[in-house]
Amino acid sequence: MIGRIGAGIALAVVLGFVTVFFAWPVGAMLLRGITNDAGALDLSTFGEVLTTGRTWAIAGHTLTMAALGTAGSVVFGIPAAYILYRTDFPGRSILRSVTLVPFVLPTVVVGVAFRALLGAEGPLGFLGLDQTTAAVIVAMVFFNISLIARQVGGLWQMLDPRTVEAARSLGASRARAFFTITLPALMPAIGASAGLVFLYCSTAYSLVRTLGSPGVGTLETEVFRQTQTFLDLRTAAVFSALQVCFVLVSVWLTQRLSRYTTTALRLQFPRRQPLSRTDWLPLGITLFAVISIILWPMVTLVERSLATDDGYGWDNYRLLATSSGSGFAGGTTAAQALEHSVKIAIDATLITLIVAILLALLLTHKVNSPMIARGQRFLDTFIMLPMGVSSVTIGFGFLVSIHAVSPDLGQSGVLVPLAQSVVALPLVVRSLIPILAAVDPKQRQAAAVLGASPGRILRTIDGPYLVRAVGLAAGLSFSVSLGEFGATSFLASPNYQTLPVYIVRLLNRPGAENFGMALAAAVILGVVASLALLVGERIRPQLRRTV
Amino acid sequence: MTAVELTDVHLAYSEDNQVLTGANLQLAVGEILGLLGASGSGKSTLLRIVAGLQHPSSGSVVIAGKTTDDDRRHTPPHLRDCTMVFQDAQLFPHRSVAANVSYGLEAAKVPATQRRRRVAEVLDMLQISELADRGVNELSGGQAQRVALARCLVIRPAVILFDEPLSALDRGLRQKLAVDIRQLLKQTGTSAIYVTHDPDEAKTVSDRLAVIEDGKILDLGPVSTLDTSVLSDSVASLLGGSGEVSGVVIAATEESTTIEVVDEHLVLPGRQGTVGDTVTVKLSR
Repeated sequence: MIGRIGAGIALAVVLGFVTVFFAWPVGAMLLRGITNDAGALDLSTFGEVLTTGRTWAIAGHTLTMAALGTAGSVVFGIPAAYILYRTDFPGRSILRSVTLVPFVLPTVVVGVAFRALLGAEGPLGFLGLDQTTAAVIVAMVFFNISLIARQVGGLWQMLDPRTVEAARSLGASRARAFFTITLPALMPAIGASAGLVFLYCSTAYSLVRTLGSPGVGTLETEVFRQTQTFLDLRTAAVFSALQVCFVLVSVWLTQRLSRYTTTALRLQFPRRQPLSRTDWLPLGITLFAVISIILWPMVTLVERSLATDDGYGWDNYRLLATSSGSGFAGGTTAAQALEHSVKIAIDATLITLIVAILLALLLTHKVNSPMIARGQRFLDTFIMLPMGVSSVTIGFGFLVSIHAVSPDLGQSGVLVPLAQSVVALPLVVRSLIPILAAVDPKQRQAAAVLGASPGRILRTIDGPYLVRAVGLAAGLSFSVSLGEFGATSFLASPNYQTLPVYIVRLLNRPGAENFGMALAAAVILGVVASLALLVGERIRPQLRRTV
Repeated sequence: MTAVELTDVHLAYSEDNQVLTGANLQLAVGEILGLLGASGSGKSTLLRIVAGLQHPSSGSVVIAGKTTDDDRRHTPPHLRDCTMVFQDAQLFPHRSVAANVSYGLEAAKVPATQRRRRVAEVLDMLQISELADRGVNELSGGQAQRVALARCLVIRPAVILFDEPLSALDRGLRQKLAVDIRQLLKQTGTSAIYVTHDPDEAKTVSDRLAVIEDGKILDLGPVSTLDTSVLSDSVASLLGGSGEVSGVVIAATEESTTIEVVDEHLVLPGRQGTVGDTVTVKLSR
């Protein structure tokens, strides 16, 4: 009985949070697009926006960038999957660690790194790619090579090598065996991860903004432009709705692709083979990707942040503590913006953890009733939506819902951590669920028949697992919130800027000093975000083995 | 011309881990060699070397008159005139039975009409025509091995290498399939090296037996004239003592039953089955 009441309260808290801070903002945003100021149904804005050539140019640009970003990630990700997960050689683990860098860095930091690499002063400045669509695509590839390599490599290392050997002994060349046997076997993983990458690429708002919104921009930058420049919330809402459609289509595509050629594969324990001479092509592609796409921008960012007129020094870092370049931020210095970011991220982490833990407990709780199980599956899908609905939609939604109803609340800065929580929630829940799902339900039953109350079961059986997961989840949540730019760019008040917003503002202002400060601030943001993840990982207490 | 010739083949993973230490072997065209050996003796490794899936440290391999391995070169697996039947069939899960059988012909760029005809012929020969459109996950273990054999026979290789193909099947099925494999290989005139740990299976399938011991191959001579009394204890134990042989009943009356075992006829007293049955005969010294 007490257990049911507890579950009921948890469900109420979770549903309340998701309804108020996700469903309402997104719903209000959509309503804003299809109703007029009097609240009556009015599709005229939709009609106007959809019949404008510029809209389709923006949609086409978004689609092209996402498609090329995905294609590039797959082209580099598949050889990397083979080299990093299927072969073994000295230095493989170092190479693999480097590919994890994109997982820990905030998007803004990466954007700035590419500006440093491709900018006029950068080592690749002569290519003239700074603030171009090509730069955005390369940065998308930077972020997503590892995702493809991890997902595809995870499956690849478990494929039985003898299936390929059978093909070879039947007369298939290496290439034929790869294309007719290995590739079809990897298709579900490639399809699913490419779909996910497409989703990320089509919602890469902060990357596009940091890299100067080249060309006609994307659906997301258009939402921002309509909101902030033209104050046209209805048009912005229509673009936001288009963005949601985009996301839904790519989610649907992902599911279709991952079902494609799903066959009963022969899987085995992960096995690696020594690197052979015939592996030169995938090795070459992987080394090129790791060195020039992942390492080079990072090294250049650090190097350029230390560059001064007469060599190297800490000048750019010292400027962060001064009011130089703070004209747009009400006199706030970059150091103060970092302080705001940390405070906001702590608040966001606390909110996220409370909701995520409750959600994870609800989702992993074994139930007998088919109706409740269906409810669990629905909730599971529903809470993943913020991951698909871009952070821009969430930020804009907050603006036209909560902020519109209570402007004072909007001004107070309370909305920023809440919006960041909504963005971080799906990721954090996903990191908690596998650990909680590892609790054998029989342990809970055993505790119950020994007289433990639901509260005691939670504390003594689930608790140790939960504690183990919380450190990691807290680090992840803090890191995501700290680097969050999409929603925050809509909601942060000029007097209470976060560091990512501050960096993008600096980048968009002329002057070498502003650019130098942006570089230094990006390095600091990257270090703090990575440290948060690292500390979260380290403080995770280990479960004591009792048997 | 020999089908396979191995000369002084060595394979060492390290100083302390020497798998083959000078293996020599000659397989005549159309001959079936049963290769026995203890676990880890290197019998599967030897097959992988012949198939080109692994390179020998030294020594030479000649397949159907072409040198595939020596000190200077290693011909890749797809350019060798041999193919392999794996322990667990290793059928391609995303292809139907017919598409699995057709795989090697596609690799050899055989025109589609010819491909279809040859696939149909070989499926018919193995009596699995009705399985043509099935997915390979719907097959039983015995059916899967028949498909694996069809997949090899259809490309008409000089040599088929069998790596314990029946070890996952139950005993009854194993003996029946062993007899069928021998018949098919003889029917098509294909040479084969048949690796197994089951001496009865080896004797049922092969013309000649060999044992791998201490990294070398010991030729035991033809099955029909095998004299277990002269063998060392270790080799005799690999052969399971005197063991048993399986054959097909070719004539049966109330007085006697004649079975064909490795090209020889064996007459048993009384009716032991009907024509076409597979019968296993226990031998004792």
